[in-house]
Amino acid sequence: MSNSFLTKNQNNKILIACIVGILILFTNSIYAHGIGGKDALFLQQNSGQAMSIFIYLGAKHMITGYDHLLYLCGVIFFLFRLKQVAIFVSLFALGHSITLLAGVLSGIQVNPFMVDAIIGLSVVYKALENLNSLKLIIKVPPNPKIAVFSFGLVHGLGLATKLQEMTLSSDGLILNIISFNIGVEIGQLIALLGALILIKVWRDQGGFYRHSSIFNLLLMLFGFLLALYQILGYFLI
Amino acid sequence: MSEKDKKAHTMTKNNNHSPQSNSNGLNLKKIIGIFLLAIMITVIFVLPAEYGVDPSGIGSKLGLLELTEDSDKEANQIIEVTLIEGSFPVIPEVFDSWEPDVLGAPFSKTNNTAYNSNELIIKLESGEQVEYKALMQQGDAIVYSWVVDKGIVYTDFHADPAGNANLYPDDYFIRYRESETATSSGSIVAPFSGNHGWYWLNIEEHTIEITLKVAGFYSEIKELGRSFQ
Repeated sequence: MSNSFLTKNQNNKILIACIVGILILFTNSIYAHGIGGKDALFLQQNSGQAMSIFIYLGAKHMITGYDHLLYLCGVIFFLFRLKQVAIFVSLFALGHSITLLAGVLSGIQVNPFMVDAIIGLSVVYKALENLNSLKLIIKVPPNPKIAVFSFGLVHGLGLATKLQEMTLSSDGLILNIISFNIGVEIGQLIALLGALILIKVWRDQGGFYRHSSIFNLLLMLFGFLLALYQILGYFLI
Repeated sequence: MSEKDKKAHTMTKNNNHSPQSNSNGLNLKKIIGIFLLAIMITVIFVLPAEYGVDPSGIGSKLGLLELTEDSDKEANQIIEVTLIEGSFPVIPEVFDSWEPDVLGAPFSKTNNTAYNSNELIIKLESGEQVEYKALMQQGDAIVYSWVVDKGIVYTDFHADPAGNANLYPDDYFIRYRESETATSSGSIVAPFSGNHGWYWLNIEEHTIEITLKVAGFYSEIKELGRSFQ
């Protein structure tokens, strides 16, 4: 496989775009939230460490969170070898673990609707990548590995907002985040296993290539739907 | 390696490598078409079902609007708050000075303990926010006065149900008064048991000091959170 990860300049565009986007979200949260930030002060009394609970919640969020699932399905769609799946999924996991930890530890509240909207668009992006149509929008499409890592960073921010809704107890905070993160990875592996089996069955049945574009067009539609749903939520709630 | 596997392998490589000719005939028009389809589905179905907004009118015909209405109803059914009741008695034509009307809650309440009082000085840097709240039982009263040394402060004088929070919607609170003033004095009778007090946000460019005086029936007054906006 390509060993150009982080070496070609034009490939880093999407990574830079994601990092800039994350920074804008952070700074935005300071202004956009206004007085609403005081909600954070209604501290929920969460009695310290509860590893198993946070592992469960992390896994549950991943398995019931169709946004992450759709993106993962898109990522593994054209990966035929387990080694490939492992590389891409690890990059995704690395990305979201970084921002999950950093997001919760820094205590900065990012607007959940905006993060989830970008997560929706990440599904659109992956569908376009699978359809080999990225160049209709971007002149030099980035390396898929850099893209999956960058979107991992964004998905992690989404996870951080979910965790911030659940707990604010500084007692055992790090252990709780790590537990949640472990749960997320467990949930991701379970979901991945299911998706891999389904795609394998589909490939064995035949017609995979003929119907693959329909699947990815649907994926794009769902991505747009998720993004619109979240953007409207930002303005209506 | 079977023929099929070989083909699959090449596909993987191609997909992750440089973009090659676009075989599926997707163009920008089709992408925009899918986007418009997503907008249509959102307006017709998602808006009424998720947010109770129905610009097309189809949502109400399909009954999708009820989804948001139902959840509102449910939330209201679970909460059973005991309201303090009492009204001033009718003034009698003839008054027997041996048997006056006895006025209980909400006009009077006898407590088993002496009242509490505190005087606190709360320092807030520019942009800093804090909450001070008194833990009170339903029907108990407090009087208060607070004053800022220099400038004004944003205040949300409010109450949350504290230990009974599970009976209420998430983050539930009621507001007594929202203001941007230099001082405030008044009294409250707790509508429910819980934390009653002040959220303050220093909207001045400089550090301020708030002097708060509270007296009445509460078990303790404490700082509940402090951070920067």
